Amino acid sequence: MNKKGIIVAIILLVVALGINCFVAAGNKEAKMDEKNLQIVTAPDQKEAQENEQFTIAEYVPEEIPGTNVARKGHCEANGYNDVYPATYANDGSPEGTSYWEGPAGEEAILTCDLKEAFNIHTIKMALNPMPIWAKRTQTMSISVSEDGENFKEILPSADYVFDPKAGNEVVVHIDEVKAKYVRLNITKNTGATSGQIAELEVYSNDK
Amino acid sequence: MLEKNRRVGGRVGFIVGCVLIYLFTVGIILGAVKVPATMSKMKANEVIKNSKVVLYDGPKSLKDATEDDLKFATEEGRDFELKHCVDTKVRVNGEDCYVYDTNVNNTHTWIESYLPGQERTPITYFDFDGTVEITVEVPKKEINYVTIRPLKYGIKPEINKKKHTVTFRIDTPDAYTVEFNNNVKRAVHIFANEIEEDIPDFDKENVLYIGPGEWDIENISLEDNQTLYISGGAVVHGIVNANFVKNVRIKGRGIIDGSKFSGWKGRMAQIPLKFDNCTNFSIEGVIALNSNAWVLQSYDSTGGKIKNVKIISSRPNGDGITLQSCSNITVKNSFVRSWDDSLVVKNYDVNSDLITFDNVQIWTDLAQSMEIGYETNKGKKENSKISNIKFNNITVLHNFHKPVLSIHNADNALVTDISYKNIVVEEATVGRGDGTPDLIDIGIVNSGNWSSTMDRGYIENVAIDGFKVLYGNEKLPSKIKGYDADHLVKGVSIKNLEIKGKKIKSLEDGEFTVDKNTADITIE
Repeated sequence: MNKKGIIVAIILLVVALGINCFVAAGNKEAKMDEKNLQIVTAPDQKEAQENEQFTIAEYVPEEIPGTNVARKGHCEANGYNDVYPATYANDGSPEGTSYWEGPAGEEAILTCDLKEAFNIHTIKMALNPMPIWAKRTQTMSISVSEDGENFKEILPSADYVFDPKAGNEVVVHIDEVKAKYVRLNITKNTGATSGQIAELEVYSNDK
Repeated sequence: MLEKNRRVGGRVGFIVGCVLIYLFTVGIILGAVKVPATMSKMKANEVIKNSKVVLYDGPKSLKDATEDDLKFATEEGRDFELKHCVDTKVRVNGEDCYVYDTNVNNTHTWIESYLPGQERTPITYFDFDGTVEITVEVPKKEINYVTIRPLKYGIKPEINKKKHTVTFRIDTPDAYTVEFNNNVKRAVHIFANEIEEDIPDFDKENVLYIGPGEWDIENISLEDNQTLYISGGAVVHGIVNANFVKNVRIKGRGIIDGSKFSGWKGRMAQIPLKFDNCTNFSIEGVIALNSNAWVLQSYDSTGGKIKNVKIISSRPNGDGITLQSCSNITVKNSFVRSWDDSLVVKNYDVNSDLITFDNVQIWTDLAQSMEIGYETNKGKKENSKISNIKFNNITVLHNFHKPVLSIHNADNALVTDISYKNIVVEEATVGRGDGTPDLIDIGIVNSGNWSSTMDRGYIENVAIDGFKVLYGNEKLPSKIKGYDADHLVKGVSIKNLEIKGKKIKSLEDGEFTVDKNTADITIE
């Protein structure tokens, strides 16, 4: 090959390389200006963590002296919603679907027959302790009776806050009173269409 | 000194020179042929250069999905937890997206054990503005054919068989699904959001902020006026609910994941997004995966805005969005892939009224895509009614099992003023598994499973305007049936019905079965 041929070959080589480099560069994946890219980074974690904001401190329930005399009693109500009858209110379990819910849109009246008269000093009302049972306020009065017909109001209507951070339970200390029947008249519940009680406990030192 | 034009290398050199010149010339020609396309691509790349993208790193603690994790098995037969996907890569403008491997259910038969076989599919998400180029790389897959849904965008992807990549561009925030080789398995769901706006002030007392990372939060209960922000990059194993509250909202791009809960099996449903008895709530931007039952429920609520929510469910009773006795609710720009009804309206208590679904993509693996019923008066109220329900601009990517459009009035309610506008069914393979073959099913029924009232109800004023099936079964029949002479389906108007290219102008053309307990059924 003569010198001219070599020059032509070199020129062709350069042009071929140039064109193909141009084509290769042009066909690379499109890139964007870095200033237009934001990457939200993840923290260093080796496993899923609890999130402090939603961690609930362990709740230590109050120790109540005496015996829960409602446990062997019988609960009745002026009605119930869906599949939540009054008998669930003293079955010993506040968990799952074991709760009483009054008739929707009406005052909810729950009466617990203790089967015999006791001197009672504390009433504990509980809802399901799981956080899905969000904080709610129930407005109610509490009455007692020895014969099931004549009820005496021992606590007038007041708001009681049920908060999962506090075990979703409310403990009410009362002046000791003799009662065979304990009645809750719930007129408002900010978390449902009627009153709800998962477990009603009534304490006496008689047993 | 060399003589001018002296030959170098003799005859051999001449031959080698000629071959080289030939090869270089061929190289130039081959390159030159590609120059116009390259120039056009470079010009288009200028658009990419100016686009804006927000990417979200996934949690570093999520484990890579192994081959065992991808096996077809029940939730008890393999690790069910949400994983980091490693067999599928997605890049946006050349930048890697974090890809998750979530559970999906490609079976189409109800199973009494509540343990259907599960598979997995990759999903990813990012935010963008402008035009972006997406590349999906599947190193282990031979790519012969690719479908990118929704088909309305007419995306013709560039397939590189050697590199096992698919590349395409998008300029509209939406959900995009990439299917390989005419097979729905391992379809890649890409949630391309608009750039987030109106991000709440995290310092405010009423704002709950969850940052990127993997979090075990059993339950989040919202109180009045609270905003929960779940950042992109966050995976929350848990549920969010709001009960008897007002003015609450969820925002963000993060994932609410139920894969750590075992299936509900008819007992303990952990609903990822549950808004009951609420007034004015909004849910925007988040993704819900692996629910142990149904996914987004609102009951007895009024004033709800659901926007850009992405849902994939795979376990029994995995309804997508179920609105029960709600009023004034809008659901827009969302994506639902579900293993039970995708969009549902029913009466469990008070009347349902003024509910609009607009611009929602649906993929229904089991049951119906758009269902009103069956329960229309489970609360046994007087004068129960479901009214003013609109389905506008709905794209059904796949419906495999039961009707796409259905009204089943199984109680004594009046179901009235129901409209469907611009419905596109990309693939109607209705009737698979233990499904039923109907495309449209409107009826008053007495159901052993779902009826709560002894009396039957009525269906009136149903308007379907624009219902197009692009592909599907050879036969796609429909039916409209009342109950008896006193309980009619009355006033059904069907316009612009097109099935696989055929404009349907008569009930016969549309293979409709219409019984005698109906009145004023028209098609044009």
